[in-house]
Amino acid sequence: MERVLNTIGISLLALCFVISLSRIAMLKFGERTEAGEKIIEIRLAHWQLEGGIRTALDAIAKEYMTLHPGVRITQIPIPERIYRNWLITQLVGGTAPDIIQVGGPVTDERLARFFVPLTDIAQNPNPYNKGTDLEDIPLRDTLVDGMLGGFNQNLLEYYGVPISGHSIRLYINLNLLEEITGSRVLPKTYDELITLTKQVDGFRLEGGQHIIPIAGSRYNSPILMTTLFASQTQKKMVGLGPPGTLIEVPARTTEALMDGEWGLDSPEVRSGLELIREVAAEMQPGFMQVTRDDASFYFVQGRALMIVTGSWDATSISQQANFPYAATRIPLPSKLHPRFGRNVMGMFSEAGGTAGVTFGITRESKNSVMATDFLLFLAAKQTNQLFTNTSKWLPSVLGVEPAPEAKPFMMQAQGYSPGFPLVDSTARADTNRLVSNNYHHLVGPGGSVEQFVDAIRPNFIPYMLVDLKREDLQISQAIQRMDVQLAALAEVSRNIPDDAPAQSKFDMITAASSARDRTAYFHQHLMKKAEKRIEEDSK
Amino acid sequence: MLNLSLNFASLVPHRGKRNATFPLWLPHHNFSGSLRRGGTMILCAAVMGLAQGAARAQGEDTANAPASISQPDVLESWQKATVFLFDEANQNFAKAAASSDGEEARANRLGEGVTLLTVQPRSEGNLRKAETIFEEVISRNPKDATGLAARMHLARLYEFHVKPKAPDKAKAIYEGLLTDGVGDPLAELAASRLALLELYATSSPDEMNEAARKLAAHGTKLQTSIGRRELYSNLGLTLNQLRGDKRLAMEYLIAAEAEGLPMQQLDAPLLITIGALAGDLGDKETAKKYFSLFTSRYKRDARRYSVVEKLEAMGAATDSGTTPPPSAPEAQPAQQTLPQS
Repeated sequence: MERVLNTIGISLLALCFVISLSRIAMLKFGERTEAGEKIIEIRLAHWQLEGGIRTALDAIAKEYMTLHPGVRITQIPIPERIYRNWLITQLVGGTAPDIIQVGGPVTDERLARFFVPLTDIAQNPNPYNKGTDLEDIPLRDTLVDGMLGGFNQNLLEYYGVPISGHSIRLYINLNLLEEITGSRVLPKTYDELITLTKQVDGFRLEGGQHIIPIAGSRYNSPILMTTLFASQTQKKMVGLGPPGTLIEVPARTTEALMDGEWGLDSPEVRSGLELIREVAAEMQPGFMQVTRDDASFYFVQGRALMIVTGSWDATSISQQANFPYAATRIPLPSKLHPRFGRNVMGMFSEAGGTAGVTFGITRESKNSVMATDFLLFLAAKQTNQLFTNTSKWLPSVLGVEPAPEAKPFMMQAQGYSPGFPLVDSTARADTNRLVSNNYHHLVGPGGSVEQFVDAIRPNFIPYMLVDLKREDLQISQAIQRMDVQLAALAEVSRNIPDDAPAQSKFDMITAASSARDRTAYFHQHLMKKAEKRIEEDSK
Repeated sequence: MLNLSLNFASLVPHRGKRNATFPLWLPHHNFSGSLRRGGTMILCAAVMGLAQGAARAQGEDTANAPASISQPDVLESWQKATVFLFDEANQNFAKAAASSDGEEARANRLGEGVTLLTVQPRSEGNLRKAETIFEEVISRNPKDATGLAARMHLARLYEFHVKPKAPDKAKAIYEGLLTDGVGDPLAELAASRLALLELYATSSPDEMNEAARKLAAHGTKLQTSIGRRELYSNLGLTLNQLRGDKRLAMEYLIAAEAEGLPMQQLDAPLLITIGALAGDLGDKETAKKYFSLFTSRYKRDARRYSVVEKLEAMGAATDSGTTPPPSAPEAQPAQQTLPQS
């Protein structure tokens, strides 16, 4: 018996040893094609685990591998929650894939250090567009956003190629809508939306199950609430500050706040908060504690009639929901609305948004030429058509016909700029937290606009000052980096006068450096105003 | 207990010099001889895999590490700094400065000083060292290109890098560069830097307008388009921001625009600001001109519809092909039902 066990044990160990050796040999010598050529592996990592993307990238990879039999494209999907940590480990450890989705966790420092600038390829036609109407057009001009989704404002280089557009929509379960209202007619105005939610309130499914009018979560609800609030500050924004404001600029809005041009008692702010309160009452209780996934479950399980989310969730919802649904823009109050119309200019323009799902190439890539080639293939018109047809996501290349499922999400350029938010969630993190932490005073049972304003008023400007100080530090750091980069470009362009890209970059970075300086001085000015305001308020 | 110590790196091919020595404690008395050998083999196989991984990573590290340059070229080091490889550039400059002499050493010292401004970790010591280096480079010749660059960087060090900031020292250097740095693209930026320092130091709109007029006079002496553009941009945008004289602000912005802004993110708001200022001043023709420039240059911009509306209100002809239908902002787009998958 012992002999048998030993034989089995030794056999298993031998097997492990052989597998280990073959793995080492494979890594050492690489896989080969039938013709004996070494297979080049291009690894591509991203966090888009929503439905559609992985299938589309597989289909694109298959097409590419057919064209290039010596290349294997391997997709590495990483959950968004761990993407940042995973990415840092890979980049610092020197084991990063060839192509990586850039955005969120990829800071300027990491972009500059670990990614290849793509400005050269952005300025030249994409060879994979040969034979199409985009044949002679530089890559950046073949994309709906002018490749801004891949442009870094601080480094002044393109570091990524975006392959999909996106927009925000209100999704409605059509079966439920019909059951509740007797028709599939969608709400076209804000009042129709509210009327519909009231109908839902009085409706019960067989068995008495209650339906949530709008599924909310800490992810979805702020999208809706910010949009509604911004409809009430549209007119105000145009008149704020010095001439030239047609779009929200956080620094300018903050200065206007310090100057008393608007505040928590302004009619526009009160009206925006009223709107939020009215709509939030139609979401399930405790929605700000709920995750994005939970809200999606409410909708796909037919427990909620509506949900507000981005086009990126459409395919996942399609795959999981067993009912037809419609997607429409959020119905905002029109300027003729009796209660909320006086501050409104009109529907928001969706122009100016940037495309997403942006891929960049890492400096670590051992096959950067092939990786660049695959990136160009990804951004080609024909490939983008395959992308939208397979993923049902919006395309990013001009002239590509969106898949029928993606059409309701097409960005609509007509319209006005949205107004300013109560607080800019990106630029004013502490103030945003103050507002979020006190939302229950506004939307909770027994809450009111007055209660909410009273709760945030004492700390609103002081938190703003904290945010301004943090931003000031970030601006200083950016200026310090840019100073060195500017010095380097000045030396390079002086020593190589015919280096056109260096000359052009020196030109751009000079302009950007001055813009940064202006921002720095203006921030100092804002901080002084905030300190003065806090002093006055405390008297 | 058996202390089994193996140098696994010697068992696998590797490109680096790092040794992977793993002490292993194997409790042999609990196993039969063959199983013990088998266990050892499993560990060998597993650790070889690890060692291979380590060797690979090490090999990659070596392959991707900055190339060791015995005599780094000044330009090559600057090129590293253009792509934010500041630490590497600094090491190269320092190494080259130590092993070269004359002008080459001076150029490397300048690079060393500049890159010290961002070398990690940032420290007061580094900033002081950078200050000393700039002063040393300037002392050799304050008026050649290297000397002018050192003066510029010293001013920036006082303006933005040291704590507390020393704006007066920066101002004095910029003023010197206004006369000595004419024609040098980097040194000519002194005028625009000085503009911000001086405008923000004023205490009333009148004082600010007067300061702007004096600063604008330097524009005629500047020989580079970049120098003029940045000076006029800073003057116009700051006057507008701080509610200075609208006409002055508009004139400076028009002058800046004439030099050409290299980025949409700066050009688009500049055109709108000129149009808005002109509108406020009742100068319809100027307003129309710059709003029209905006609509012709930027087809996809969230501000476009508002600008078209302003143009139409001023009676300007707009391209009907790009003008949204008047009812568009009020109308809801057609809703579409998504096919069920």
